[in-house]
Amino acid sequence: MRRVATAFLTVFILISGASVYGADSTGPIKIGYLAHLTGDASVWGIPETNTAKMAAEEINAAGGVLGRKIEIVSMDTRSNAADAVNAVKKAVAEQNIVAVLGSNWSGINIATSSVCAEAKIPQISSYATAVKVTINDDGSVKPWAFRTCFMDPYQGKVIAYYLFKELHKKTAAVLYDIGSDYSVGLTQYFEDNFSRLGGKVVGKWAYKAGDVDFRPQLTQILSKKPEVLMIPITYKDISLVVRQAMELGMENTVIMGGDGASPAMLAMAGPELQGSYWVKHVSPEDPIVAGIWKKYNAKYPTSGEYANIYKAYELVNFIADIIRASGTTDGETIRKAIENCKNFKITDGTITMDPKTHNPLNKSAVILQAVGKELKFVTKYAPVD
Amino acid sequence: MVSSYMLSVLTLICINIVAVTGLSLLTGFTGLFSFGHSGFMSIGAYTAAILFVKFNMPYWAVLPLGGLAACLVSGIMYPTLRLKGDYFAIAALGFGESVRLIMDNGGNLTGGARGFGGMPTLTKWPEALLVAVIALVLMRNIIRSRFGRTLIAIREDKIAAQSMGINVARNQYLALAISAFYCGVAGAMFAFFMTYLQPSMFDVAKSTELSSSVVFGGIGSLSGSVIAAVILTSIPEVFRPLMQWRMVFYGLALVLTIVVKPTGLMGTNELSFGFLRRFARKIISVGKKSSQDTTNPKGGK
Amino acid sequence: MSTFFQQIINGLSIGSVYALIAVGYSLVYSILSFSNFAHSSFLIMGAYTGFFLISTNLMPPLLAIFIAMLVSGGFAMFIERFAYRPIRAKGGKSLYYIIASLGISIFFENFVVAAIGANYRTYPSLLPYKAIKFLGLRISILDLACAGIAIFFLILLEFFLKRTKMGMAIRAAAFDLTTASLMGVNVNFLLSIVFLIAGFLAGIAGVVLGIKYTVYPQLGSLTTKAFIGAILGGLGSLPGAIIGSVCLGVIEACTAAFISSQLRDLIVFLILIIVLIFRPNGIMGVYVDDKV
Repeated sequence: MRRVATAFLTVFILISGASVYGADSTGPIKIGYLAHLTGDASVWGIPETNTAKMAAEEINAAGGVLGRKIEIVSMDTRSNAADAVNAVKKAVAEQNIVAVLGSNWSGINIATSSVCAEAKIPQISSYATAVKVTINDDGSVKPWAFRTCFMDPYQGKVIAYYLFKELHKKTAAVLYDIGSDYSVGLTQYFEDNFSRLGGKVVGKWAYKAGDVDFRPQLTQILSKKPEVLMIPITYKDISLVVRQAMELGMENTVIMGGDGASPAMLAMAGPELQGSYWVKHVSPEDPIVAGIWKKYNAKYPTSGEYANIYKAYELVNFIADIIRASGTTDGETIRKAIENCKNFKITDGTITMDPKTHNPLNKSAVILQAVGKELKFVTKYAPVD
Repeated sequence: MVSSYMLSVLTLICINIVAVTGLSLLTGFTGLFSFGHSGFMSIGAYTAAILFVKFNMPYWAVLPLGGLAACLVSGIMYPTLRLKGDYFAIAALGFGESVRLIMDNGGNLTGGARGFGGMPTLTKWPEALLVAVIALVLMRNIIRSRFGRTLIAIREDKIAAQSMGINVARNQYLALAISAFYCGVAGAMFAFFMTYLQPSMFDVAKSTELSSSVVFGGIGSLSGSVIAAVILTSIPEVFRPLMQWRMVFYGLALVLTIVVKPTGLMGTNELSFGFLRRFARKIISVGKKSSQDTTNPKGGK
Repeated sequence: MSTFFQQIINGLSIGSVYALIAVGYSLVYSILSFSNFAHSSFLIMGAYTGFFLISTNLMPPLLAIFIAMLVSGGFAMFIERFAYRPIRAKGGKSLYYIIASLGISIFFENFVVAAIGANYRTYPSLLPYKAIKFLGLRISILDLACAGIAIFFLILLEFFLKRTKMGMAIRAAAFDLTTASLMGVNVNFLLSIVFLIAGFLAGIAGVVLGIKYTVYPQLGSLTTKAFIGAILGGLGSLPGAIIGSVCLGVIEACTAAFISSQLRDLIVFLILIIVLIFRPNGIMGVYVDDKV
């Protein structure tokens, strides 16, 4: 098999560029930030990465962590899991990162969780909300996976409770993306909760990512005359859906969705979106969040993704504080520290981690409403039975 | 010492070698371009994963079973083989997207968009290499057989082959079925490499990558396909800093390859030491000729 | 089923855009017998050029759209000259054309992402985003305008092909390129014109799509649906491309509404296979045997 041998010779020549670095206990502490720098989701990934670097600079200017500087190692997911896995493996092998922060996509985080587990470093998601990110199918928790935001089951509950109890709506139709784990999950949790309260989901219609014309589905939805149109999808699709729904004559229907919304959609469908409700993790009017957002826009090209900017800032400071509190960058030690943190101070409040699920306890959601060209804060909301 | 990162890249290369080799039988040797082979990978991956996780079948059994499943499903493409190549390519695209949709709608069986996990990392370095080598040896024998020569005849001139008594559709279908089997096995390997599956991992982009690798490496060259698989897998890693522009250059390279050397990098040649020697000699002689020209401006052609 | 007629309207609207794209694609196929996957690039070129020109407010929108069409037409001619002509000179195997066009579409889409950015851009509103109520149905003004534009250009094309000398040459070349060249047709010039027209059509389709669905680099992926429409109608036949595309739009709308919105594309694929089993050359396809 000379030919195979020759082919593999090429392999080694090509990869010989990558070399192995030894463990370094005096240089900078390297923290990996996993985000989408290319592809559709770069609208979130780029601000997250930039903010992480900004936060690191601030920390270093104030003296660093345990006498060392921290350095953010940026890893591009290329918006797909296989590339993300390779990116993490490379950073672990070559840069000896001590933790992985991000990304905000569940599918990717689930795939990279086994890499982090093998490398014995904790991974803290930014806004990945699917259950499977921290919990296995059999209910056991993934030892090395954490998150500091709420999950889809909670988000679905928030939407259902708010619509039924606060807005007194009893019928809803859902339009969701069949290929998105986020969309499918949120639809299920919304329906479960809404039905349990006594509401009725008059129908669920699906589309495929890449579709731009939703009028067949919307025509059917409108024929059922629901009080609510629930759209657990992302901002670009939201704009097109709402525009087409209005065109088909939708009126007196409440529009509500989850954290896939973004101020960017108001530029595309401002008039049609007026009065719609959205669930988010933090409010743009919160002074701490607004302050960080302002700092970001002063330094980088303007971005409307204040929630992701805030989260990246919070995560970098959180991991820095955890390392300080543990006195070491050893994987197992900081893992335990994260797992057991109680009322641990973070940028905007405190966090208590649930050791059984690796999700934060008592994370409330924020309800925003589209008014004018902005998403305005309505209320903080925690569903009460 | 080889890091675990490099080992995992090598493993990924082996997976891609199996897929690209299988596809080269269809595209390279039979001349049918497909936009949907990631669908076969998807079928292989999910079949293997489900059999392992839900029915506790062993790894070495689910790999060929995944391939077999893909092979059986390829039957639905049979009607399109009677038609011109372009119909087939686009129908294949429809096929790939349909498979993805089926997986998305699989409910509890496939996990749908929320994914299917629970597979341990069983596709590792020495084992993956073994599978790749077996795949290559098998393919080499297929190509050298009478069946292989029949396929090349069909690729070169369909009508002439028909008038020689060759049943074009049946042979094309066999090539498709075999390519589906290979992609299915590659998909199964992939499932135990990623440990987690989502239907979106097997999209049109993946199909296009596979198909263009075959062309890039060389239509009708097995070692060309291997080299193309190697390049396909390692370039993203080597050029990580240039992430966004990588695909731009890739597209450009594809166009340039076809315009300048349509038969691909390796053409119809196979890599061997004889070939390398001839190649080196060609470069040296070209170098000599150009230096002669400069010293003798009146040198005629 | 009370929504049936509205769904037909929806389907016609989707289908008319597919038709505009499919015609340009079919034109190239009928002459060169290959699927020009770079058609999506011409479309994106038109969409972005139109967007940028209109956004600058330097000229009336109609002029901007016209320039956008010229730009994508020129782009198409450029691609033909530098990518397809060398392949044709070397023998022109169908497979090579496919790969080259694929490479171009990958290159261009990613170039736009890398150079301009993946963000969505909205055309400034040129037309009210409202609908006319007619017999209980809702037909959007935007749709009427787009359908009107599509019909206008298709009629123009028909006129060009049937009433001009160049058009006659193109129809002759579509029948047999070699013989046409023997009869004195300048094939190189003819192909440039064909691609110019295809680029024009793709450009206006791009602008229309951009207005309806916003502008983004992956906008070209809608051409895949148009290709399927062209296949359904019969590759190589211009009326076939239109009928196939419109049928595809209606089938998609009705499938999503009345059968299953989750499995829409799978069902459409199965329908395509079934049609191809019974009518291997599409609904209107004419089977021309390869001559030996």
